[in-house]
This record gives sequence, C-alpha cells and structure tokens, in this order.
Amino acid sequence: MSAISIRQLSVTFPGRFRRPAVAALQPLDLELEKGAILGVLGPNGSGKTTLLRVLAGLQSPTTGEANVLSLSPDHPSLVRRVAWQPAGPPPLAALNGRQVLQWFGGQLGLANAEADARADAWLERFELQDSRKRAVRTYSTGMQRRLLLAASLMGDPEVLLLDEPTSGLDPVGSELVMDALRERAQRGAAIVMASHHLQEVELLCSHVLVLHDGKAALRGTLDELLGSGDRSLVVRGLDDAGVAIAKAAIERAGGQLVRCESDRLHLYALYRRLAGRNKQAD
Amino acid sequence: MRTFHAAFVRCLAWALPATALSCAAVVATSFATHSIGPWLHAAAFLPIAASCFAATAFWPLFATDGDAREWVRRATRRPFHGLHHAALGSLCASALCMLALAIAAAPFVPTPRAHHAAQPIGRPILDDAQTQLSFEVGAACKELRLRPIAMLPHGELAPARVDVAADGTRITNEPISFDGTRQLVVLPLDGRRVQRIELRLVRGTIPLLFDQHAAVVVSPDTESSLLGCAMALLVMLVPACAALALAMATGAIAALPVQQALVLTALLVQTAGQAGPADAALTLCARGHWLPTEGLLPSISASLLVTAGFVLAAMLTKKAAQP
Repeated sequence: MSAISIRQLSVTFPGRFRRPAVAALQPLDLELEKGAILGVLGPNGSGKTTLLRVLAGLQSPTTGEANVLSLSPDHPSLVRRVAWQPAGPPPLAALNGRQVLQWFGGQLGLANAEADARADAWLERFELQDSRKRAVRTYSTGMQRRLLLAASLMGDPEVLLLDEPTSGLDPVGSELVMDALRERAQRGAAIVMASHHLQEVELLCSHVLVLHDGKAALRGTLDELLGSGDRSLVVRGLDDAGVAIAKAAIERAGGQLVRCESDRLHLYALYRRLAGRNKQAD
Repeated sequence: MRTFHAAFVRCLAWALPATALSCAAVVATSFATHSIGPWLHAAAFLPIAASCFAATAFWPLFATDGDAREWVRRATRRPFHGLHHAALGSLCASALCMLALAIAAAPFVPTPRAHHAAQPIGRPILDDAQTQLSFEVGAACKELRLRPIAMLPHGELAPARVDVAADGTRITNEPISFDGTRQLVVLPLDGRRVQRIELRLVRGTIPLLFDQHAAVVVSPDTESSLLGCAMALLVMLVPACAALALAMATGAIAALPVQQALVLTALLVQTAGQAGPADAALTLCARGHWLPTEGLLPSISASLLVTAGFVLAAMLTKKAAQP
C-alpha cells in the first residue's frame, strides 16, 4: 500500500482583480511507499510548498486527487498520523521549548505524562535540553527548526511532510536531523522533504522529484537518476611512485584516472571534529 | 499544557504589572482625594486591555501574520481552532486581576446600599397646576435623594421651594430650593420604614419634572464593599468578551496591529464610550450603589448578545477558510 498517492493533481490559485491566475502545480502523478524518503527539489516558486500543503490537507487541489495513508489529506485522523513541518519560525514563541512540545503533545491527544516524556526525549535527541526553559523566541534559527521537527515527531507519525527541515542548521544540527529522519524511515515512515540542500538530499533521500514551474521535470530513485552503471575507485595514501603504478594498473584494466590531488581533510569533517572536541570539553 | 492554560499564564504575565500599577494608582489617588473618583475606570481598563492584547499576540490565529498560523490551525480542532480557549484564558486572567483590584479599591468606595427609585403617583410634575406630588416607597429609608429636571419658568425666574414629608411628617425644617436641572438634594432619614413621600411646591416659578430616577430612596442596610467592588469590576469582563469575540471574527482577515487597534477601539467604545454596562457599573459602585438592585442585566445581556453574534461570525469565517 502506498503511503502517498497522487493522481493528476493540480493547484491553480485564482486571479483577483487584475492579477492573473497562477498555476502552482500542473497535473502531477506520484506514488510513495512506506519507508521511502522523497526529496522535492526545484527553484523558488516551483510548487514544492504547495505540494506539501496539499498533502497536509491545508490546500484543496483544483483538479485530481491526493490520498495519504488511503485517506483524504484533510481527514481529521491524519493530524496525528501525518506530521507537517512548515518553513518559518515556530508558533507560541512566548512559551519555552518544553512547553511548546507539551502543548503540541496535548493537541495530538497524548496524556500529560506521555507528552512530558516524549518532549524531554526529543529535546535531548535534538540537543535542546539545555535551552528547554528558555522562551522559544530567544532560540536561534537552527534551534527553532530543530524544535519544530521535534514537535512534528512527537506523535510518532507515519508520514512526515517537511518544508526545508535543515534550513538554517549548522552541519552538526543538520546531521542530527538527518539521523532522526533516517531512523523514522527505517521504522516505516514515508517522508517528503522540500529542500534546496542538494548534498543533503543526495545523502538522505531514496527518491527525488524535481519541480519546475509546477511541473515534474524529473523524478525517480537516486540510483536511476544519478547512476551511470560504471564503478569508481577512491584510493588514499599513495606517494608519487605509487600513483604512477596505480595509474598504469588502472589503464591496463580499461579505466581512466580522472584526478589526482593532495590528500586533505574536508571542511565538514574538520568542523565535526572541532564540534566533538568542544562537546567533550563541556 | 493546554491552550487555555498557556493563554492564561501568558495573559496573566502581561496583566499583572498593569494590575499592580492600577492598584498603586487607585490607592495613591484615593488617599490624596479621599474618594475613588474616576480612577477606578482607568485602573480597571488597563489590566483588561493588557490581557486582551496578550491574547491576540500569543495565539497565532488571532491575526493573519501569526507565526506558524497554519501549523496551529492544522493541529487544533474546529470550529475555533483554539481561539475560544485563548480568549477564555485571557478572560480568566482578567477576572483574577479584577479581583485583586477589587481588594485594593474596596476600602475606598462608599459602603454600598440598595437604591430604589420611588414611583410617582399621578403626573410626575410639580408646577402651578399641581402643587403636590406623592411617591410610593414602602421600604426602610436612610436617605432620600431628589434630582428633578427643572423646566422653563412661568413668568419671572424664582427658584422652586418644596416641602418634603414622609408619611405626613415633614423631614426638613425649611423648604428645599431647586433652581437648576438635575440639582441633587440629599435628605437624611432615620432608617424607619416609609410608605409614602409627599412633595409640596410652596413657591417659585420653575416647574419640576420627576422622571424615573429623580426620586431615589437609599436603604439603611449596608452590603459588602468588597463584594460590590468585585461585582462592578467583573462587569468589565463583558466588554473584554465582546472585544475578543470581535478579534476572533476578524482573525482571518486582519494582521496583528489592526487586530490590536480593533480590540482597543472595542474596549474604549464600551467603557469610555458608555456603550455597554461597564461604565455604569463602575460609576454606580463609586457612588455607593449596590449593583444587584440597579437593573444592569438588560445592558449586560445586550452586550453578551453582540458577543454571541461575533462568535457566530468567527465560526462562519473559520468554516469558510477551511481548504
């Protein structure tokens, strides 16, 4: 059974006064299985957020139909089963982080003790436990994004609809979020995430949908879209003589040495090593 | 943490400093002027306005520019999406502040007593054609308050001089004089039961019209100042109800600054503008009236009816805004 099923879905925002109508999404078909992670890519205004809003039951389609967990997206029972994380700051920013999660747990119908336990667990998971008693309006953008995602995960949703989940996050925060999403997918949740971070989509997603002017310009699994069928080889730790020997061997096997460069750490790895050292010092 | 609880705490955080300020102002001015004066109105308005402002700023669905408005709308239940809980939280915070203010103001308001309008028997006029006028009372009286309307004089201006008697016994040594409209004359009585008050025009050219509240008798029984003050201040919640219901109705079309301006206007119209029971309740309290005998219920009911209309409009606009 598909977690998400879309048939000939289109959304047109009607024009008002002299403003013309805008076709935000043009007829689109999509199936997403449970456990799959779909990255929705595209330039600004390509229809990514509109697609997520339709699936969250916040926007009626103009034509076609969308089903989430075999139900209409605005079905009341989906509020708990389908999590939606919008772009932008979290609500109720006057409350502290723990209270926001407790409030959201209450809205999902969780008992107080259960909501408290889950709030504490997610705050710790997203490294927000030290800030749990601070008003959310004092949080940095990255902390606010992590808090919103924590709220989205409070109800153990079967489908996650995420609008720019890693926007404004530092690399460590971004990895925390990606780990949590990977774990949810392994437990059977279907995830749709709109993003501009190509590298993160490549690392996290199993499927990709590229939208352009509301149309599906490209779609498929990552292997289908990016795989060439050939194999590449990465070798580290050779001196000049070793490189010459390896090059000869590669050419004998019918391959081609594309690039040879001095070995150095990636900036990302350096940042992670530094962040880990700081954490240990704390 | 539920919406009501969160809104209550948030509104209380805004309203408490305003209440502290109000209490301080009431106590200071009452000591200085030896009367509660008009300060009770201002003191009551401040916490109510602060609490309403806090509610509109706190709950994202009160304005089109609230943070993560759609997220909240999706998470909360129809038809009001938590707006009613936020409004209720604000009202409860306001009520708590009004009770605190009542405790501070109660020592400075006159001891409340029931005031009854005496009903005139026959034409309620004293003039050349009718020099005697009686009022049916049938209650124990501590005071008689006369406040007639003075009409145009017949001939040369001469103040109306009136003798006042209770059950046939004069209660003034000299006739009392009226030379202006709504001139208040307070005549003390000894607290005995009076069946009838008689007025007799002795001389003067000014006809006096005694309309509904022109002759009032004050009961000798005293009531609780704290209770009277608390009741008057709690009537201030009626304009707050209407203002928040209006904000609920317009939440789908107006941004926060517009909403807050609307709430402020609605509160001002209903208090300073006297379009509602709040101004009358506070004025009566400051004059030592006992509110339950003052017939404020029709005015309160009318305001609550308006509130119900706004709530209905809020329900319809929220329904129309569903995808």
